[in-house]
Amino acid sequence: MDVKYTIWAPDKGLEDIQAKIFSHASGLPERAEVIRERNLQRVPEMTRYALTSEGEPLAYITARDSSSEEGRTYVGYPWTMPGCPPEAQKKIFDEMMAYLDKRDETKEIGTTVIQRSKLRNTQIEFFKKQGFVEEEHVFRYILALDVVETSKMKVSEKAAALTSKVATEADMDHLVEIFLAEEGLRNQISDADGIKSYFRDRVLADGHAVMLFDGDTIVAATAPLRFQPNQVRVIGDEERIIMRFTAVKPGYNYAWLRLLVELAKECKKTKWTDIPIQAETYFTGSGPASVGLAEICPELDDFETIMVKRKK
Amino acid sequence: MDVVYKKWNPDEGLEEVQAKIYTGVSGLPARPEEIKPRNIRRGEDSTHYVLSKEGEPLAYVTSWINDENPTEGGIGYPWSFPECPLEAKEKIFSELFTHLKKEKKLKDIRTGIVLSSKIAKDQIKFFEEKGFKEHERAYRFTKDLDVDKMATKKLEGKAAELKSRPATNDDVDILIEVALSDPQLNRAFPDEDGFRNYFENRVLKDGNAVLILDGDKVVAASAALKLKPDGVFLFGDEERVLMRFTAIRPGYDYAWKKLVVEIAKPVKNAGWKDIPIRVGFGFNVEGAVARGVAGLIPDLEEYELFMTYKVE
Repeated sequence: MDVKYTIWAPDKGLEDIQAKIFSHASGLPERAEVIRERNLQRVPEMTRYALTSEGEPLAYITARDSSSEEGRTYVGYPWTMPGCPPEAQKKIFDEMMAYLDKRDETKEIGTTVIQRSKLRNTQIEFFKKQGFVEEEHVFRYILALDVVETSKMKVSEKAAALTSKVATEADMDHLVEIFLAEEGLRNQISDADGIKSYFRDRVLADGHAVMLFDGDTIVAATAPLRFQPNQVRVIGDEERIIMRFTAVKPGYNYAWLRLLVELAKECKKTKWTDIPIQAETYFTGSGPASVGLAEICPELDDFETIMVKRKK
Repeated sequence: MDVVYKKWNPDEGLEEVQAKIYTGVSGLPARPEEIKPRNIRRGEDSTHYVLSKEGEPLAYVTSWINDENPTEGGIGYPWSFPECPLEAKEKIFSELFTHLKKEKKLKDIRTGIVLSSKIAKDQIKFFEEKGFKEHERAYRFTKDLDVDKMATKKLEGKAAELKSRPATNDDVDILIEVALSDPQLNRAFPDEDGFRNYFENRVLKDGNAVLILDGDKVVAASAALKLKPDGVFLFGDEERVLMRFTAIRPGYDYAWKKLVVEIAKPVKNAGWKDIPIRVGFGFNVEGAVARGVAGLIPDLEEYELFMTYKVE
């Protein structure tokens, strides 16, 4: 088979190809517009594709620098479509690793394997063969909170002093400001136009976004979204109200509980009292007790495995 | 008041002084035999003391530089008895802090504040005034397991194929070997003698230690310890049985479940079956959502606050 190799470039529909390969191979959801944003923030060499000579998707691989662990670069699994020649899969992986080996800023290479991926075991075996060692697990603790009960929850005096408001189009500048204040969100969409279109076309179109202010300053915002289980964001088989984005200004950690309460009030007003609100936190743990406990405790979700290879 | 300033040396029983001050002021336990090797590792310039002219303990402060990452170091709170002159306490802290700030590679100076310390609020205020900022918090996910249920639990899969036997005085070398193979445990003591002393004089003396075997190979070990709440390892006001050390050979994480089941058996035989086995693991989080969610989870204990000073 004739295989074409290419690195990322915008406006060629490569993000659609990438989403298609990932969803097909892993069985997990992915959105092309999120991929596009992400790829635009990395150098083109951090995303590589194998295509047929007609431009049909065969395989791709990505890498990214960790935002919190200095010197660590994460590489993905070389995802493939059925019919991709194994040599092509190997070639994009080897070329990515050779590229990362030459980068001074990469001191160690990590990979994350999502527990619910259809190919989980294949991925783990693949990386083990390449010299990666299992190091930690990312766990997710999931709470399902009753809307009415949560709307009555007591918050600290400081949090009670903040004022709340349901967002409208007139609040666009506030929303952009708080979105950019949250590192995790900023890493997903960084340009003001992209953020505006996210709020205008999706969040505000669906409505019910709540904001908290300290005087005139926006300090937190979120919005409820009824969400069907997709086995990543919502697991199991019951619908949940998720906090579709959560932005809290640094220094205002205490505002989160108030934000949750205001979200619950808004859900109650909308008569979304039939399903619980899902609140969740991710954390990294290591050691056998963490993995063993996740098997015993249903609220503790063993979300992904982190494997690491240190450079020589 | 006339005071005497001293640096650490291993010959004067200063580790006893240090434990006495720490426990007296914080209300938290400390072991001189663990302080000594730690101080030796940190070096003579890293721990400073204030004593009265008669040699009575007044204050101490300790510091460290991360062995694996020379850009990261830390300094402790200057623990002092009420009769210690304030200037003496300030002097040993500022001298050590100044000394650390001169370390060429050092970028971050950290401190950890155990939140169950009697003077945690004073400690936080002290470090805020010195320019330290909150960085992250350590939590512990804990679960109480019923002894009867665990002792009779049927295991499935690979864990069911493992064997077990009680550890006896003849097993010290085996215990040391498996403890050293565990990447989380092998730094608990500075050398093999430390482990030998721990197993001989504490673990095996108290009993209730078990070994887990894969064929003839010991792959995991632990021991049951009945513990009263101490404000560090066990919060609350009820006794629990703890797994006092948990050694797992790499690749045998699945042996943890077998270990819990096998620990439950001697616990039951010892007549402690009404005291649940407390298992858990620690992790660090930063950010509003994580702290907010953690606050709603009864199985999570907020344990320690880390603050960081950025060296210019």
